[in-house]
Amino acid sequence: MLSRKRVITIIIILLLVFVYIDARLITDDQGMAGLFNVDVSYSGNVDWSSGEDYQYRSEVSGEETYDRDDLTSLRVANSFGEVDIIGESRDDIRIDYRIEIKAATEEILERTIDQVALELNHSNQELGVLTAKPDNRDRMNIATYLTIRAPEELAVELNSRFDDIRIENIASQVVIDSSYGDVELLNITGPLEIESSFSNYEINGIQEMITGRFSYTDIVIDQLSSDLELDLQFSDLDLYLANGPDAWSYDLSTNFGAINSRYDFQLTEDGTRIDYYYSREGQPLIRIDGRFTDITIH
Amino acid sequence: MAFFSLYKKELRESGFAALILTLLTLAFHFFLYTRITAHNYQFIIGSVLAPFFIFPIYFLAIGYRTFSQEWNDRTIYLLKSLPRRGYTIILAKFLAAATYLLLLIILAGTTTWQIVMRTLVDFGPVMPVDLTGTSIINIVFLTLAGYLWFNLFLYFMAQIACLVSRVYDRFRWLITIIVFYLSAYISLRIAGVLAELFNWMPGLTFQISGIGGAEEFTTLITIGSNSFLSLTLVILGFIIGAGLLLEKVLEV
Repeated sequence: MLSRKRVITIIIILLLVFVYIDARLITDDQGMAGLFNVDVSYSGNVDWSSGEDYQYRSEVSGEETYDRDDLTSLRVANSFGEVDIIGESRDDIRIDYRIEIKAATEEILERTIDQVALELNHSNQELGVLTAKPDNRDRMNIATYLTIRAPEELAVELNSRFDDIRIENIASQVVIDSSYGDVELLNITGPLEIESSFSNYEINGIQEMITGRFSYTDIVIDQLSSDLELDLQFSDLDLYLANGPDAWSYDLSTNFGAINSRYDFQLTEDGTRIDYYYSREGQPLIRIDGRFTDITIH
Repeated sequence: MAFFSLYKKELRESGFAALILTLLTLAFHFFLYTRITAHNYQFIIGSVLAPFFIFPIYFLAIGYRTFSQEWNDRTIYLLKSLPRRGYTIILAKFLAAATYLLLLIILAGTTTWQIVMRTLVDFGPVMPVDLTGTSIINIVFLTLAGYLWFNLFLYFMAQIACLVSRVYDRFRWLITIIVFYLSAYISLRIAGVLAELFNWMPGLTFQISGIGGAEEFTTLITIGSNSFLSLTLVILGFIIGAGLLLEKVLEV
């Protein structure tokens, strides 16, 4: 009769032999992968440019012309795809669109083509432009490229994610809510309101007040000639004044950042905060409140 | 009654080590809390998780020490003379260790939360990914569940390695290491085979969605509930195996 110690020793040796053989024979679909039985599916407009995942592609394109009638504003909502809005002397709104679809299978592609379309909504003197998309957007990407030519007096409200924007020659209010894209704003003679994150902004030739809240965004404002009020977080600002530095009132403040200028600004420092305040009666005010922000005035 | 007496005794015995770990965790997190600045907050957010890497080592040590201490203190006579089955003794010891582990996780979780919230308030968003509230709950739940399972396995593997090594008079460290390795390998292989048997069970789906980089994403993680069942069965096997070893094989 074997002692218990010997039985356990034999069991340990047999198990070691088993493990040695098993570890050599085991395949990828056994072991841990089989145990946890985890399935991870990922959907989203990922790396649109490479397009290696979704090889089935198609596009729907066209042109819509809409009479101006009583319209006073234009509202555009778009995710993925560039948006150009150009103000012109005209009485109608012309929209050139191209909707690109990429799908993982041919079946998904064909089903999706029937479900996407440009959608125009007219209500309360406002024309809404957006893309109708299927609710389930698993294993596909949809991007809409828009070029809108509209009367320059129309106010513009744009909500955009994940691509570039260009707006030019608008003589009314422009409101932008954007993230993840490069934005160029040219010759806007109405007030400008911006809320943005993770973007790059180039703003040129704005003639009325600019109000903005930016985070993780680099901003270049050229030829500033009006009031400016910005709230900045992790965002750097390069500001080019249209007139000399004496034509402005200043209320500048940044925490964990710097204020740089070739002008003789008398900065005050309080711990990590740097301020510059100077008031000139009747002059436009530049008010900037920043955190982790470098402000450079040229 | 003997079960609760044993549970309380274990709490007392491992209490000092748990107290030291608690104080070290508190001191470390307090140090981090007072050192958050704009230049190091990302480093602080990373460092704050360090105690969670120490706790498994504590649990591993407790798993090994819980029985080796009985022999060293010569209290194994008393333990074996208790009118209780082996698995109830194993359970009582395990519950005491699990109590401290849960307390440590709650404590370290709370102080971690305080540090992260202070960083958020002072320095704004610190994560490159903007997740929905449900996604954060799902991530915390999945991480915590995985962390608890991991600690359970470490504890029982160390315990069974210690018990088997007690069969021998010499080369106990070598036996401990070999049995620890074998129990890890074999338990996961057995759990894999058991999972195959139960793969008709429904999957548990967790959705994580948000915005990260330039992407709006949704990730669906489906974990078969058979995985949890098979892991539970393996842990039950550990408890019964260790109980039988203690009750039938080991001599005082």
